[in-house]
Amino acid sequence: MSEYSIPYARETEPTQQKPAALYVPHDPEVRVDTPASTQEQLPQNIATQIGQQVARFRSLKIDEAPTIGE
Amino acid sequence: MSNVFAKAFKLIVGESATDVALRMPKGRPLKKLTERELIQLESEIGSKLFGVVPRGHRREFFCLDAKTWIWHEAGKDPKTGKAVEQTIRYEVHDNGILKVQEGPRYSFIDGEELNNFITAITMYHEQVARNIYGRDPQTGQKIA
Repeated sequence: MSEYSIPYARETEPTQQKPAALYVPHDPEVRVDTPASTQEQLPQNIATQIGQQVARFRSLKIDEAPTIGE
Repeated sequence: MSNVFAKAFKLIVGESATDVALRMPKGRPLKKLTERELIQLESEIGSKLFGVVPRGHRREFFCLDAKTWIWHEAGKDPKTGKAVEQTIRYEVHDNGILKVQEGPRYSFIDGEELNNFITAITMYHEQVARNIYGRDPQTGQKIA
């Protein structure tokens, strides 16, 4: 049997993450797959997505050809 | 027009300014808006996300760029009557949301403050997408 490694330890780094945001398996014998979206749901990732979309909307608005009022 | 730019500059750099009523420029509703004018419009929405602004206070909250959010509040201390002003920059990093205050003081936000921040920017996104850009916040597509 190969040496046991704690599942997802690498995924939960870096260490500055708060414990509440970490995946902590209750039973190390039971492997529970981390949802693919877990990483995306980190607050900084939500903030990044929102910031990028707001910036994109702004950019699109600036690039829009004015129709009336010029 | 130069007055608009002066106000926008103060808004971004966090200097004190007199109360500013931010409104869609009149007389040219469909004319191209500058980035600063769009930020002003966004900030008008952002300032209302945190409840009622105390009388005589001015509050701004806006997305400066994809990774930076600005919160600014100015007014008078109700006890001392002295002018008080605070600007906070929230920077989105790969490992968290960094709060940068004057001083300078730096800290990654967590707990209730982090939840409030995420709630605020989510509401901001929803409202500016629909009310300023006429887009569906989920799909990004133009609303017919």
